[in-house]
Amino acid sequence: MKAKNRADSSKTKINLINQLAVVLRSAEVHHVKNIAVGKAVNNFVFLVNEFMQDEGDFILELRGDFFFVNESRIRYSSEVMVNFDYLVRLFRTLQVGTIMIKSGVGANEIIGFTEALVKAPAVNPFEIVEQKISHIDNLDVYELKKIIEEDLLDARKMVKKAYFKAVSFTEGVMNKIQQGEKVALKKAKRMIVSLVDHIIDQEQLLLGMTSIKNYDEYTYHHCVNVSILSVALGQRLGLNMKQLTELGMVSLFHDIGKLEIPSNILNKTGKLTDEEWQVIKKHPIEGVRLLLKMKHVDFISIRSAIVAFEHHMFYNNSGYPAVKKSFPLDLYSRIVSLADQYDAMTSARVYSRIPMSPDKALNLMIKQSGSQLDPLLLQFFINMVGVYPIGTLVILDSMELGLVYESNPGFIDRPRILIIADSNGKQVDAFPFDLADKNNDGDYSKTIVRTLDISKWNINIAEYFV
Amino acid sequence: MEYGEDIKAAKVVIKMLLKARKNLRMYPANNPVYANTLEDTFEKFKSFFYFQDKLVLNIRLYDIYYGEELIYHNNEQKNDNLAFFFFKDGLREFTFQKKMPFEEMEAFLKVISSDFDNEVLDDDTVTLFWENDFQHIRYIVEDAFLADEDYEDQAVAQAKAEKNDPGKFKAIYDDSLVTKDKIEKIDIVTIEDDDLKLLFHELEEDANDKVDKFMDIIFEIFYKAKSNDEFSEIADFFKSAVEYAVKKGNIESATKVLARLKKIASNAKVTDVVKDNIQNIILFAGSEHIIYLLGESLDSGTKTDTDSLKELISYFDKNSIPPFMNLLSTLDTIHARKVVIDVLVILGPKDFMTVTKGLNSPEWYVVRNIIYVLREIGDKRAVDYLLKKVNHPDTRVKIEVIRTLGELGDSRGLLPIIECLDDNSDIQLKFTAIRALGRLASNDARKVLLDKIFKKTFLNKEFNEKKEYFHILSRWKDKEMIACLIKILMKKTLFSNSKVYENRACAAYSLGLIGSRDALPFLYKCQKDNNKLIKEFSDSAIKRIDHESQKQG
Repeated sequence: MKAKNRADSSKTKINLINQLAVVLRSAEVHHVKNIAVGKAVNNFVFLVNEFMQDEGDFILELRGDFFFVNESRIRYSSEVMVNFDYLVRLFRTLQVGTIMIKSGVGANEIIGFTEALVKAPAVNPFEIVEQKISHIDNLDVYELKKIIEEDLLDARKMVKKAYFKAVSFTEGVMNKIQQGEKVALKKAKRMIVSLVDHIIDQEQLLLGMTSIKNYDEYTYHHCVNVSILSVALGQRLGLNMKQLTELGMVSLFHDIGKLEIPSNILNKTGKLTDEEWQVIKKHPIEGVRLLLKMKHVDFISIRSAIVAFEHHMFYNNSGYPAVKKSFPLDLYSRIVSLADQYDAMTSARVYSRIPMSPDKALNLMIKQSGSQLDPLLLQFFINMVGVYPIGTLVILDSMELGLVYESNPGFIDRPRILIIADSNGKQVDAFPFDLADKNNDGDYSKTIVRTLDISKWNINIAEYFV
Repeated sequence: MEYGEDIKAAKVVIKMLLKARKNLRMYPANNPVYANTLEDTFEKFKSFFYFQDKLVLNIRLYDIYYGEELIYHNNEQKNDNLAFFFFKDGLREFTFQKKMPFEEMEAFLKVISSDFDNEVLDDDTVTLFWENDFQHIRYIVEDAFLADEDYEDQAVAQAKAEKNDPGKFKAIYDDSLVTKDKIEKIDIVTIEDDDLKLLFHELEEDANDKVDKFMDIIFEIFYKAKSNDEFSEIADFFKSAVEYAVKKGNIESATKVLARLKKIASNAKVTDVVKDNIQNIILFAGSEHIIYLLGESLDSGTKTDTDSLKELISYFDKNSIPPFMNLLSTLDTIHARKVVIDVLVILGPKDFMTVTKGLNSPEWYVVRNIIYVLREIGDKRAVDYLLKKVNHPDTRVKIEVIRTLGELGDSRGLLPIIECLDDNSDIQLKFTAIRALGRLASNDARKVLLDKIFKKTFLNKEFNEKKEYFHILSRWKDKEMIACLIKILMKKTLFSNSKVYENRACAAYSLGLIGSRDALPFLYKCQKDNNKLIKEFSDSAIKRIDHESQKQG
């Protein structure tokens, strides 16, 4: 008999994570002896034993922000999102890093383990859990490991490299298109694959790269940023690898029509006249024209043309270009529209030199939910960037000044920050702090009390992020 | 394990990969060679995994190494060179794990067998590997060639150029104590099950074809166009869109576009330039190129909406007939040929003479298909051309000619049909000729049939052939025919002659089909006959007549 195919295998792993979360969540509501918990436990035991027949012991590990099942990383997507967030919170709170379940595990053992987890105290939770399950033969837990700073540094270097490669490549491609030269789309796709690969592995680091806005070449950075934000959102929505590549490609070229806008209008620093705005508003149509002339019509060029045309049309068709026969926007257009607005609002552009702070931009986007932006996708977007998006300047209850550098899965309002000034307002060597960390009493160590307008203070975050 | 056995097994894997690339390119997926190649390759991997848990291959420009061991060398810069093929795309190392399932290996082989020289393909090996999301095949890629390495340093230096002034932080601190920025707090948004359901619905919807949406957009651009150049450019976009839709088997979308364009062109206010461009698009849709693509799509087994196809070809003119006829000699599947034949039946009347040219095809099956088309068109002008094909060397064609001559009902067909009644080369031909006489339905045809059955030699014909004659005679339901059949039914013989009994049984059968109640007394009589055959056939005929009578009340 042929081995199970990989799609089945990764689906099984997702099912197992989901079922484990169902067990634990139901045990938080009911007593572990309750029939609902029992049913969930039996399901889990059945699934896990079936899994172990093919794959050996079931090892679930939280490494950084991601779960790994038997060494293969589980993608954070809509399929697992709710349970994933729940388990991340639980693992972090209890300081549990790994659960190892051995072949032959029974329902009573899982019930005992469940009880140990849900009843763990706030103080020294891991030690208590470990002690309580010590009599269970087929189950072990291991403490959560801190990520080694060196590994993180390597990852940062690689992400930075990938980001600038993408920008440099985009500049090259756009210049070629402008000069009417042939563009090697194989290379473009290759670049996107590399970028998407990094987004899947290091989503937060790449999102961090998009938050730096003081580069000269806004256009190329904007293209890449929109691509990164779109793919990251697409990943959250559960798009597969092929779809993510497509989304990466189409979002990279969403603004290609701007190449046809005269530079004196595109780069005008003053207020644009009505006539000039009319010219700017032609870029979606110009985009379709350029894309269709650039290559043969295939699935990617069709989707690219759709997104280029629709990305300013708005969710309720009230944007531009105005259409004779209204139609619902394509999913990718709605994704790119979100990413485009967020990046544009938080960037210094020629016609709007002062960028909006990320949290303020997010607030404005929420107000546009249902009219300009798709409300459902916006929810996922907020879930991705967090209530305090990367680049937000915050004051903590400790009176220290912090800069958000990563959102925190499972803790949407408790991002990871860099503390950049002490409680007296004195600049310090920036150091990271996880706002989900708790003190010995089981309370959060630090909490955001206010956000500040970063643009008002003109803080160059590149000094911290690059 | 003996020293070097894993090396030997690794070499065998490489050889098999080379062979698999060739076979997968050469044979379609439903060919046994294709399937066997996959199985064989999997076996070779399994043989290696008997020695080691993973196979790590290091790729150099012209070489492939397994550990320190060179297991493949080829110094040609060609895609046939496996090392070069991987190396040029930046692949530097592969690791195949023991748990690699068959499906994953198959996907890997499909990628390496792709036609990367095809300009239409926007992928290289790396992007395709990546999209396959392999879980048990790892690879290391070098992609330095993608961009300018110095760019990063310059961009970083520029971004960091403006240093943060330490004094600024104190100012922020002091300011924040006295003023409160009016930045609203964002509520925490939790994603509920209903949101997920909505999302899954969105994703399902997104899997649909995007062609209609794409067409809508081109129409919007079309509505905004002003200059002749713009219309001409947009016409090219429509052509590409129609081409893509047909290639994908999405006939419905292609048809919808033509319908919308035709409607626009029919508007009196539309300029001649617009009309010309629309006409241009419609001509393109019926061009040889598009029809060829349509054929490919039909042959690939893509489901085709026949109603849409009928509508699509209603926009085509007579120039599209020859390309469709050409398809008859190139298509592989019966389904595709059937669709094309049906198309020609619809298009044929637009240029009947062109269709008849298909009768000169060197391929017998094309000739047969064209004869079918001519029959379905039903134009009697075809008879002249068909008469020239009566002596076609292929009996299958001959059968089709005779059948069509019968169905066209033209007296000129009588003679060749009669000739075939005595053609012993193929029983089917004889049967077709008998039926064709029935289809002619003329008095001459009737006479021919009756003359035949009254000939002495008729007695010696096979029972089924006799039965066919009598079956066809039953289409004449007049009294004379009934009397004639009764006469045959009641024929007395001095000696028991089974051949005569067969004739009588066939007459009973024919009377049953005619349904004449006048024949019943004779049939009752024969029902009691000693001959089993006559008894049976008379009995069946009576039942049939009774049944028909009851039905008619």
